[in-house]
Amino acid sequence: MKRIFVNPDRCTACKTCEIACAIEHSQAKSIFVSPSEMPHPMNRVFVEASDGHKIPIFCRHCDEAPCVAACISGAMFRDPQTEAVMCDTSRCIGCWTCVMVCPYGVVGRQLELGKAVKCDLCPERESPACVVSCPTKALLYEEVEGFSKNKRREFASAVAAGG
Amino acid sequence: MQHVIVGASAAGMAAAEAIRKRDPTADIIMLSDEAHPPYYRPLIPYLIYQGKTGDELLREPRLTPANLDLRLKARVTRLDPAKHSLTLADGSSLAYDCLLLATGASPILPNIEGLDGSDVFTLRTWEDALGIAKAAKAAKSALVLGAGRIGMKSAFALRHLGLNVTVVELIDRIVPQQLDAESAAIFSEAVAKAGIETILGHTIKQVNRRGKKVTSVILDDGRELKADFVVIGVGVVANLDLAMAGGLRVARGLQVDKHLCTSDPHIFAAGDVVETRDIVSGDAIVSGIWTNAVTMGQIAGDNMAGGNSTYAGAFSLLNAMELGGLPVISVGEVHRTTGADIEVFAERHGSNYRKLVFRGDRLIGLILVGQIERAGVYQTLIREKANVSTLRRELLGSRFHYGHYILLQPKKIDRYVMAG
Repeated sequence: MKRIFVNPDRCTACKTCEIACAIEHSQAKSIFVSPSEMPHPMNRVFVEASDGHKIPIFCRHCDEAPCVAACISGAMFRDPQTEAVMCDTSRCIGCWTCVMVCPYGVVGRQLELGKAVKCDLCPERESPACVVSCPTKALLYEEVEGFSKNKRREFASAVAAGG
Repeated sequence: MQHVIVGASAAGMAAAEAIRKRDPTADIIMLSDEAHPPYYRPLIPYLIYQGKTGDELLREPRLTPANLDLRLKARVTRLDPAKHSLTLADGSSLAYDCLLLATGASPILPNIEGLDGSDVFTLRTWEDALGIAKAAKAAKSALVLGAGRIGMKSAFALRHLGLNVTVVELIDRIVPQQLDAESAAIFSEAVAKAGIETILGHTIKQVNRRGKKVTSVILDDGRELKADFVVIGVGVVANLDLAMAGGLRVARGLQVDKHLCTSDPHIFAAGDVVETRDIVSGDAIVSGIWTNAVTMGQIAGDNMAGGNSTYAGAFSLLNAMELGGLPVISVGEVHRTTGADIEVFAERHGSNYRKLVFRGDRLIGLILVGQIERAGVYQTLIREKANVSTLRRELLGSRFHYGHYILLQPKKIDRYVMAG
């Protein structure tokens, strides 16, 4: 099971991940064409800042996902293969219960469609668009099982050495 | 081990999933008195105007636990805790090792002259919705009593079919549990725009009929309103018959301990039937809210399968909805505006409205209309009773986000944060 990991120290709040995410979830998948699409391409990652600190905020695909539990229409579900939390927009009715229960505030609203929008870990890609795009390597896409404390240190030094 | 669950909606289904998660082999028998397989109850208003097909309401195939022995049209008439036995309406009996009562609630029918009979509906089940749909076919005008969620959902569904719809509500604003005066005013505009008439501060005292057919209603001020049928949405009451037949301790709802166990150690309860504590105020409440029912089901189910989960209590108010194209989220004590240490922040820009209620260092209530993004972060702060004294300025702004919270807690940030 692979998930996205963040090293907040490396984030410069350039928002490249936000743009890459929106483009990846558009029809044309082109930075020139996609911005004028309807419905508007939306990002699922949000780079936030507070007191000079920066952090990209993602869906964590929680083990006990409140959005899946609370969904009143069966739209939010856990993909049996990847264990990612996904939104089946054909079932979404835009009641926004998921927006109300997500502790991280990462379920968005596609207003033109009236549907919930969230991170799907880019199922068509080997590595999510945000991770690939990050110019400072603040984002990593790794197996959770292998990402123990020791591994984290290795990654930290590898990243620090420009790896 | 034989688990029996009475009720196949939010709480019952969440419990079945929780039991299955902890125990892959236990027998789980689920009894539903309805004819339809388990479905998403909040979607039934769509059946009134065929905004969804029946199939689109069903939980199958995705969200049902494996190996569930589901028995439909199975109404339980008796509970004998001493013998660990249930009696069904067909006379058969069913033994249990561990029982969950998720019997839910039923709509209240107020005592109004002429209300008994045909052309009067409530909206709680799939069949109820089909009944309203059928009545609407031959009707020109409908009267809805109660401007709560069910009343308003019914009104919009019927308006969708082109009927003249009048909603009568005793309190002086629509969706009174969920909205305060200011936010209700915003929604009143949307309701009027949709062509739904509302009469606030009144109720009906009489239903007039010609033969069996409803023809009109009389309001408490004597006004007569033409109506071909009436939909009643004035709240629900816990279905306690079975619990009382079994001699379990009940008050306004079925009483449980923090593990959601009733006065019988082999019987648990979850959902709208339960009397629990308000997570914010601590008051005893019977919650009719889906999200609470799911959480209770998860906890009761886990405990039935040998777990040790505790329930912190329910929100009296925890609702999201969209009405007339406008979204609203309401959480916690939104109506508490006076008292020791209470501070209220409210701000309206057009159809955007934000109201935050603080008690001392804690956030206890929230209404967001229009811009509802990141409402879950506020909801979590309320639920967790977080000290928000250092976040006050950020909370009041419309750009408050999880980063404001987590970046204040350096200990919680590992060098790498698992984020997705």
